Amino acid sequence: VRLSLIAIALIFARHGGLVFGGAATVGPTLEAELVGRRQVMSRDDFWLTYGLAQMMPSIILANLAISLGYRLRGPLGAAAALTGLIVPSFLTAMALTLLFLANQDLALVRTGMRAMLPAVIGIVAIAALKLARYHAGKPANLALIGAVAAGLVAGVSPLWLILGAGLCGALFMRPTDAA
Amino acid sequence: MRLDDLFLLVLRVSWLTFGGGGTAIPLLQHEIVDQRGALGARELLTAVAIGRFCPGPNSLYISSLGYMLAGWPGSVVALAAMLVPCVSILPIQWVYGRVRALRAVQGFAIGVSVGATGLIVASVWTLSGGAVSDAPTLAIAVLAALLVGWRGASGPLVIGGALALGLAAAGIGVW
Repeated sequence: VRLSLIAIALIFARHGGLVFGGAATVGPTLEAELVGRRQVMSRDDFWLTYGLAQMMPSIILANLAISLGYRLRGPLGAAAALTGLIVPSFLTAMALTLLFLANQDLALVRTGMRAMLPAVIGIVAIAALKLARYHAGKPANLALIGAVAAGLVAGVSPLWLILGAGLCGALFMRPTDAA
Repeated sequence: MRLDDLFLLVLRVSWLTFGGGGTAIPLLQHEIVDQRGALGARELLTAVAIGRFCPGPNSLYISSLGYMLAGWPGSVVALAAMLVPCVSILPIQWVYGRVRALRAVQGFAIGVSVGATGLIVASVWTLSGGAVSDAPTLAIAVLAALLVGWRGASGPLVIGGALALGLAAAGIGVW
């Protein structure tokens, strides 16, 4: 089955660009669409690509869209999938940004932001805690987390910290150290 | 900010962002807020909040940041720089199929993932300075963490609830 570029863009908008919740929410419904309904790839192929997209840097859903789109229709398929994924989110982000910047000096908006930003901190804190718990099984992992955190607070560049952590991993860590 | 500066800055950050867009926050804070002073921590947090309200990838706050730094061209350039490593999945997928058995490669990926956790933990501390400044803001941060962490509430809903709470408090003049 050969999907049209528009069909690819719409699939990645419906199972990505228009969905809240990120890669974890999208995986099962996208699999149902591509593997179950359209039958354009095998289940193993899909989840192998999904796993690799998670391990690659930057935007996980974009990694997934590019890789799956490329499998479906080559470079144009990758571009179509990426367009379907990114455009709805980009337009929403820009509309909200313009709305915020136009009203940020209103006393009402300033107070609203004063209440909203701590909630963002709370949510980032929970994400940090969950990640830390995931890695906390090994004392060496905890030591590395602590060292990187202390380095950042002390003003060391995060670029060097993350590359240093990778180097420590390459020298001393094995797959059983993941969690 | 100049567009080529913005592109290279986001490109540097995006290559080191593993495990989702949250990891980029401390890197962006270091480059944009601490080193260049181009934006304040509050503006960075506002962009992150905007990203949480958007469907699709959470990392689209990068467009919002790009707009704050360099207008419409900035929003597109920042997004493009964020997407460059994503495109590289195609050749890397090919190479990875051949080197993934190497222990050093697996170890590097694990080390980066553990290190990224340390960065996020520390960024809670460094970012909270401006946003959590008194008892009510601390209470909101703790309540949001509890709602999401222990009750499974959705992030956008909690952030929207806090915004509504603040607007209501300002409306009746109690905060």
